[in-house]
This record gives sequence, C-alpha cells and structure tokens, in this order.
Amino acid sequence: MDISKFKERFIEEAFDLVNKLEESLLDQEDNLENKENVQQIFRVLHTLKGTSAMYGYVHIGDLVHDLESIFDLIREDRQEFTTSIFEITLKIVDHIRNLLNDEKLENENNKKNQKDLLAEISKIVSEVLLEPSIIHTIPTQKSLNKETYYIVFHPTESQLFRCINILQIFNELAELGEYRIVNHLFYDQNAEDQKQTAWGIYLVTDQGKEAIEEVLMFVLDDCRILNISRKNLFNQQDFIDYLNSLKESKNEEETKSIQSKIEQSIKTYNKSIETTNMDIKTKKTSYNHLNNNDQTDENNNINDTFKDVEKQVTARINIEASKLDRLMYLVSELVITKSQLNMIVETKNYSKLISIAEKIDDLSRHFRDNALNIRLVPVAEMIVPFKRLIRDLSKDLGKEVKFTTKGIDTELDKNVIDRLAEPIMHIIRNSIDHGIESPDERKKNNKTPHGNITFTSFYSGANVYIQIQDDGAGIDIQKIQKKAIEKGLINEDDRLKEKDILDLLFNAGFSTAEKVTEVSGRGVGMDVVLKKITELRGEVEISTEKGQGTLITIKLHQTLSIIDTLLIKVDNSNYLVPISDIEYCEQEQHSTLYKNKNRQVQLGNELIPFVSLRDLFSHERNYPKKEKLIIINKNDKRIAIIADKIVGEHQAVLKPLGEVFKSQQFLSGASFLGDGSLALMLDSNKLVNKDFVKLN
Amino acid sequence: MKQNDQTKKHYLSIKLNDELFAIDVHKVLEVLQKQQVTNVPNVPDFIKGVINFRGEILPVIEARQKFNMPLREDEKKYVIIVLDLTTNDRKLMLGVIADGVKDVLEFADDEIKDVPDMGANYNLEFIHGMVQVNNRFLMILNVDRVFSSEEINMITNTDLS
Repeated sequence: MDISKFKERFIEEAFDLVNKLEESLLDQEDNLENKENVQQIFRVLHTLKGTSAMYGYVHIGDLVHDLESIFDLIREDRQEFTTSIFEITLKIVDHIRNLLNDEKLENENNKKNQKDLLAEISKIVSEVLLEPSIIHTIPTQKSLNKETYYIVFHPTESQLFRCINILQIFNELAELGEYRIVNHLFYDQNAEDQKQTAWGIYLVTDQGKEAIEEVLMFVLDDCRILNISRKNLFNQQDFIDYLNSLKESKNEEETKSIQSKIEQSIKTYNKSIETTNMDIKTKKTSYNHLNNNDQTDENNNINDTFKDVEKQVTARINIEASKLDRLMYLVSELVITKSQLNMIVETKNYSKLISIAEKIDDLSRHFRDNALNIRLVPVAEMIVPFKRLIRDLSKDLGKEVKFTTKGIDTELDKNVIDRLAEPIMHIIRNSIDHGIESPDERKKNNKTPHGNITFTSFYSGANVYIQIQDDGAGIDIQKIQKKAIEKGLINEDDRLKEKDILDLLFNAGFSTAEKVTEVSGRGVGMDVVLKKITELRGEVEISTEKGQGTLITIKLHQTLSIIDTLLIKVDNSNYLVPISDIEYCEQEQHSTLYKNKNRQVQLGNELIPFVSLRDLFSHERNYPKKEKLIIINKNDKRIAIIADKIVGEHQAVLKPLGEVFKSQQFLSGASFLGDGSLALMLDSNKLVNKDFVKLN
Repeated sequence: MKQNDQTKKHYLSIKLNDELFAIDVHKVLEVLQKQQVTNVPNVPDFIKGVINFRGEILPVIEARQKFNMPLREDEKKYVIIVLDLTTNDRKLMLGVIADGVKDVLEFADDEIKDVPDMGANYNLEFIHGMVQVNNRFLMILNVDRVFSSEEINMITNTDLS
C-alpha cells in the first residue's frame, strides 16, 4: 500500500519531536547541570533518526545521525556541551522543520543549509573524535552472542485501520537492540504495476527471534524475519559500507523482486563473513565504536529511556481538528435538542418522563463538558516559541533576560491557545524592548543585571488568567499623557485616572518609544493585542509602577463555543447575556428610571448608566411598569441593561451571525433555543464601552 | 461547468405577487416550508430575520419587500428558498421568501432575451434577462447581484452614534 498515510502521521509526530527537542535545548542552556535534558535530547534524536529513515527523509537522517553520536558522548560525560554544539543543534532544529516540508531537498536555500550544516557537524565530530580518551574503551565481548536479523515489513491499509502505532513498534524494536532501516520499493504481485514500499530492518539483538516476534505480534502477518547472521554485523565495516551503498543506490531498479535479490545477497554476504578471519572484527573504526556504545548501554539506558518516550507518546493522541469540530457540532445539537425536550416536559406533566428528561439533562451536561475538555490543552504548548523569542531578542538587543513560568499546566481551548500566541509575543517583545533595561542601567538602579519576565497562568472561577510580568523600567504615565495630548486623544485639562491613561496605549498608532526599533515601537503593538484578545472574548489590563516593572493581565474564557448565559426578553425577542459578565440583577419602576433625562440609575451609592434594549433595538415603546435591570461589569466598567423579563439560565451554543449582520454593533452571535427560535447574544464589551448617558 | 450554445441550463421558477421569476438551479440548496423566523433588531425591513438551517444561522430576506411589492397577508403560505451564493472571496448563504415555487425549466442561453430598457419595472441590474414560456414572460434573477452582501449591508447600518 501507499505509505503516504503513515507519512502524514510521521510528519505530525516529527514536528512534535522537533518541538520537544527545541524545548529541551533551551532548558539545557539555562541549566547546564541537568542530565535529564541531555538524555531527552538524545532520545529524541534517536527516534527522529530511526523514523525519518523509515519514511525516506534521508536528509534528516543524515543530519541527525552524527548529532546523535555527539549527544551520546555528552550524556556519558565524555564530551562537554559547548555553545557551538548548542548553536548548531538549534540551527538543525530550524532546518529539520524546513526539511519536513521539503522532503526531496528541492528548495535552494535548504540545499545550501543542508550542506553547511553537514560540514559544521562533521567538523565538530572530527574534533570530538580526535580526542584520544574516547577511543580506548571498546567492548567487544558483549557483541559475541548478538545475532543479526533482517526483517521485511510491509505497511498495509489494515494496520492503519487497526490504529497500530508503527512508531511504537519501532521503539520497541529499539529496546531489543540496535537497528537500521532501509527503504525498499517492491512491485505487488497482485497488482503488477503498483509500486509498493516496505521497510527492510536490520536488527542486532541478543534476545532471540521470539522476542522480535513478540514485538511484531500485531503485524506479524506483514513481516518476514530472517536470521542472517549469528554475529553482530554492525561491527563489520564491510556490512556498514554495504548498507550505506544500499541507501545511496536508487531503489527503483527495474527488477520485479528486489526483495529476493537482497535476501540472496545477504546470504552470500553472510557466507563470506562466516569465513572471514577475525581481522575485521578487531578493526576499530570510529563508526562502529559509536555503535558499540549504543549496545553496551542499551540494557541500562535505552530500555528506560524508550519507556519514557513511549509514555509520552501514548499519553496523548493527535486528533484531526475537523473531527473535533464535528464532535462539537454534534454536542451542540444535542444540547439544543435537550432543551427542546425540557420544554415539552415542562409544559406536559408526564411524571415518568420528567425523571428521564432530568437524567438526559445531566448526561448531556457531562457529555458537553467532556467534549469541551478534549479541546483543552495546557498553556505549556505555546511556551517554547516564547523562550526562543526571548533568547534571540535579548541577544540582539544586548540585554539579559531570565524567563520563568508558573502554572503552565493551566488548560485552555486549543483554538484560544492558537490565537493567543501572537498577542503574547507582542507583549513579550514590548517587555524586552521597552521594559527591561540594559545590564549597566539595571546595575545603576540596584537591580540584578538580568531582567526577569514571568509568565503566570491560573484559573479563577470559569476564567483563565494569564499574566506577563517584567521587572523593567515600567511605563511612564506622564509621557503617555503628554503624547496623548500631542496626538489630540485627550485634552490638557482632562483629569484622568492612571488606569484610563494606560488604556490609551490600546489606541491604534500609539507608541511612546522614542526611537522606532526593529522590534516594537511602531505603534502597532497594544492595539493589536487588544483586538486579538477581544476577538477571544477576553480582556487585557495593564498595570505598572515606574522603575519597578509592568504587569499585563489577560482574562480569558476557557472555551469559546458553549457559554453559560442568562436569557432575557424584550417584547417577544430573546437576548442573552454571558453570566460571567453579570454582577447582579435588580428591578425598578419604569417611571423612576425615566424621571430625569440622564440615563443613569442609582444603585447602592453608585450612579450607573443604563441602556434599555427596547430603545436600543427599536422595539415598540410599550414599556412595562416594572423594568428588570441586569447589571454587567466588564473591566470595572458597569452598565445596567434594561429588559422586560428575566427568563433564566441558558447554555448557549454560540453561532456567528454571519456576513449579512456584520455591521451589528451590539450583537456578538446567536444561539438556538429549545423551541427552535433564536436568542441573540449581547456583546457586553461594546455595551459597556458605549457612552449611553451622553447619547440620550 | 462545461457549456456551449446547445447545452441548456436549468432554472427554478418562483412566484412573487403573481409574477414569475427564475433562479439558476445551481444556486438553490433547498426549498423550505413556511416556518418561524426570528427577528433581528436594527436591520432593514426586507431582512425578515434568521432561521436555523442545518445548525447554522441563515438570514432570511423577504423578496416582496426587496422588490417593493405589496406585502403578503400574514396567514398566506410561503416558501423559503435557500441560496448558496458562496464565491471564492466570501461565504454566503441566504434564505429568500417567495410565494411559491413552480417548476424547473430548461433554457438555452440564446433563448434568454435582454429586458427592454423602457417601461421596466425593476432595476435592470438585478435582472439577467427574460424568457418567454407559454406566452408568459419570466424574469431571470441575477441572484448574485440582488442578494450580494454589499447590497444588503448598504442600508443595514442604523448606527446610534
């Protein structure tokens, strides 16, 4: 069968692996003593090498191969983790990402990079291997009872259906011993012209054939296992050369059964080896030395390490986003149908039905919560790019920045996380560029030479908060005020609270940076942040102290699609208000409200502006005697919404209103009610920020 | 779609105030029976409201109002013709309320005549052409134009500020 389906999965997992690699690398830079990271890097490289060869990504394999050897030495403390190794690994990380989209190395840029990187690695490798201390220990006796097997493995459609994790099988094979993989093209005997791909796996193990069969248990029908030698062929340079030549030669030769040819050649080769004298075995090349290292350690290290990798792989499943969307659609339909059922049960009094309806109500609530839960991923997912950004940027700007994270296991909807990365990047950029001072300046102000940026996230009620805090220079309130007056945003005699002044930063085209830098300061910073966060129905708040730093708080809803709302009525129209925005509800005589011209109502000892939905949405002006007030609070701004009736809670499955209604100012979507009619979702953000008092 | 002068195209004929119009069948997704339409505030009169169509919100337009015809009596039946006007640049689905649908007809392109400028009751921009069937004239609607989102949004905005 065509292996392209496996390939898609490989690319996905490879991207994951590369991300993991980058993360470990960046950690390692901060914490040189941490051996666990080096182990992790080695493991990831090892898995990458193996799997990329399986899917024909030879270029990745080439790159990773030597790099893996270097890290193998590092983890055994025989080589220092130098900055040059660090830099090149990071470069390779970027390069592999490019290669995953450019399998055949067709892009000129990639081609050049590949060449450069290979040259750099081989330089490092030669330096490393020149050190005499490395070569002296070569365990030969261990490989005596190792045997070499050749396994032909055909990937088939049915494996895909049975959800067999090929990568895991290969990981398990790796536990048995070292393996190398060769890609073969075959012609299917049944379908004459169809090219088939299979993997040829050379495995050296001391566990015997049965152990191999056990690993391959689920795919045994698609495998052939041959014992090709009673020795470890990986120790024979000729064999290695032979394998390398296989890799290089184009497999698409015009033979209908390369398979048998290979088997044949192995047999003859095997015979020749049996009769070869011991010279070859004692031939010590740097290459098989490294291989041997793998083997001596495999029982101690690789077994454990691969179990770790395995744990991480099985702990999560990659799901196509469209499948999740489909599930969410079904859940939302269920929630709607459920409320239909509830309505019927309420009007007709079937006592037996009521208990069943309640149960369905309960179940669908759980179902909804679970389905939503699938979409949740820890915010840690977006951290790595930030680390990278901070590292690169602080280097460019000659600043030192220490980045710490707290509570990154807090979970958010994947959609939210995907759309949140960009605004947070902006904020961090601002912090490094404008906030954090240069080391000299910091020393003058009695601060540590390195600046600190802290990323914190936590739950509070149904909301998730994300805070980015720096201990830099802070924001100069006076400077903002001056600038705002210059730009005509405020008047000189306007007396503004500090918070209102800071909010000016969210205006488009506002930047206080004295000189425009590459990084930020073109005035397209905070307004973009605000826009993106508002799109996610979130809020942003800045607080700052001069000389002490800046704290930016983002308040978000955990998910976007299903929201708890309060259903209210005006005339026969239904409106929804997010419950999280509501502070409390009140009622008031209509005559009292409209007594004076100011559209404000006194509640407690506060004067709150109000807006009547009847006026706002031009319903008929037959006001009820007693009006219902729903007081919403957004970012400490309050407004009272006036409606005829408060119906109750409603789990809203929010749908966009679409193109036709895009000019609707105060509506952010709609949700179907149980009877099939629609309720319109009020955009509390817009309502709060509109000055209704002046309008009237 | 492949076509030459010989191939015929299919049109759905619809009734509006005793006149016949035709719509390219490829634009029609479904014809729904009369159902409850939810009002949306602050929109032009010809937007009747929204309905639930396959789990999505579908705006519904009252065609009579759009064409300045006298309004239908409340208890009279009507249909909602669901149109898919999605193009490369935008996704747009609309429901159009008409008095009823008649048949699916076939015309070749050369059967479609231009509408004479003089005495035309309708904005000619919205009419693709007309054809004669059994001594009656059918106006072929240029649905992409009539119900383009620009056309709808032009007068949508009743901003308070």
